[in-house]
Amino acid sequence: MLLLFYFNEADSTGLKTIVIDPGHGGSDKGGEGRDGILEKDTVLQISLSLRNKITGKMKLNVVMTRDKDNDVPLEKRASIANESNGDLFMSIHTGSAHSDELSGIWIFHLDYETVRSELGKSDTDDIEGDEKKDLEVILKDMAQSEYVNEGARFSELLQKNLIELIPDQKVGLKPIPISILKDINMPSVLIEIGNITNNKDGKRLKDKEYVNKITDAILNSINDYIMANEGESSENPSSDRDDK
Amino acid sequence: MKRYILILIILIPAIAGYLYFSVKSGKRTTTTNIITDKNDIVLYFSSEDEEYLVPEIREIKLSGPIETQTLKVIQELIKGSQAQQTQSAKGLINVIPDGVKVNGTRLNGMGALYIDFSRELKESHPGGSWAEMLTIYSIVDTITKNFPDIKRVKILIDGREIETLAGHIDTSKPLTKNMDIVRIDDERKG
Repeated sequence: MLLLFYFNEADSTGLKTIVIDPGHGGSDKGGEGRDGILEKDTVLQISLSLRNKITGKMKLNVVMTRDKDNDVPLEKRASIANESNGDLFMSIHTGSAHSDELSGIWIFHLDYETVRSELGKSDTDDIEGDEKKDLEVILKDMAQSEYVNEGARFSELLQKNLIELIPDQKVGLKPIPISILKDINMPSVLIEIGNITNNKDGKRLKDKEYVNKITDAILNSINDYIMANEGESSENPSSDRDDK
Repeated sequence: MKRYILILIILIPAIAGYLYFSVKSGKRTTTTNIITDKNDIVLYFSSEDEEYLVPEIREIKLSGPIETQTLKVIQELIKGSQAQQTQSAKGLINVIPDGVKVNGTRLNGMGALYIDFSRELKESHPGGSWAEMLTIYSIVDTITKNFPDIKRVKILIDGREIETLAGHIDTSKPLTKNMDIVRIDDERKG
């Protein structure tokens, strides 16, 4: 029982490692603003600031899928995240709309229906091997459903905190079948921190105060997530912890 | 003389009446033929706020094999919205980038339609996740809506498979319709 006193904040909720995924990179420049600002550079800079803020203020490990301007394929990003045994995955992007007039922040997460329909799909048009995959699909489906629920919960916290710190910015939230998130074995979200093709957002993305608010909102959301999990843990004490 | 005048008085209205009804009848026949040759198709474009897809009904002539018909429908989609902007309804946004051409379509034995686009679909795409969703499902939903026997659509670029169009949504496999992204009550006439 005495050991309980030595659990730090993260240990007590199971949140130990955050994976930050700066989108695009290398030959994949992502979106591009009118003034030449590139998504791959903007999101790397903001992701590094976020890493420093998290490691400086919280007892959490941070794993980056890239920390420089290099090509990292989507499957490599997923394997980095999964091999790190991360507890929360955040893919950081800027957005782009078909119309340059639209601004805003978007938060995307998977929903259960999306995951289930994706898992149910055949990789090819040859369906002969489908039955053999059934067990694999069902097991993955069971594991993913929890990650999906947690990803949606964290997304709502992000939306709340972003609206709180940046009230004049639209903050949208949608479940969509983001490719990178489907292969991540932990709760996951993708955040587009402003439309790089929009003039107003393009200026904001270069503004330190705006970037600070974004990273603060993410930090607050992690804290809220930990606190919410702590609340659940105290209501339903974990058998794992009791065993220890 | 009076007799000739009387005959003319009777004949002129009779001839005029015959001609009038002949022309009217001819017009009706022609119109009927045009209608039977044309189809009301549904094309999906984005709402002005780029939150969802909106159906636009357009009358076009469709005939021939399924590949020819699907090609024609995609060409209409690429042309963009023709719905007029009104006080109550704003214009719709074309989510296929400018300069995109469709190279061809092909139905495989499993009921999946492969659509081959020119490289501009990928190279000129603005790049956001939701913008990518709108583009992909404007194509997929347009095909599956107009050709119910086609359940899946695969997007190719210059004859090659692509993992994603703009880095976010998996397009390596044929995709099924997505009606969650469509706002039906905002239907337009093109």
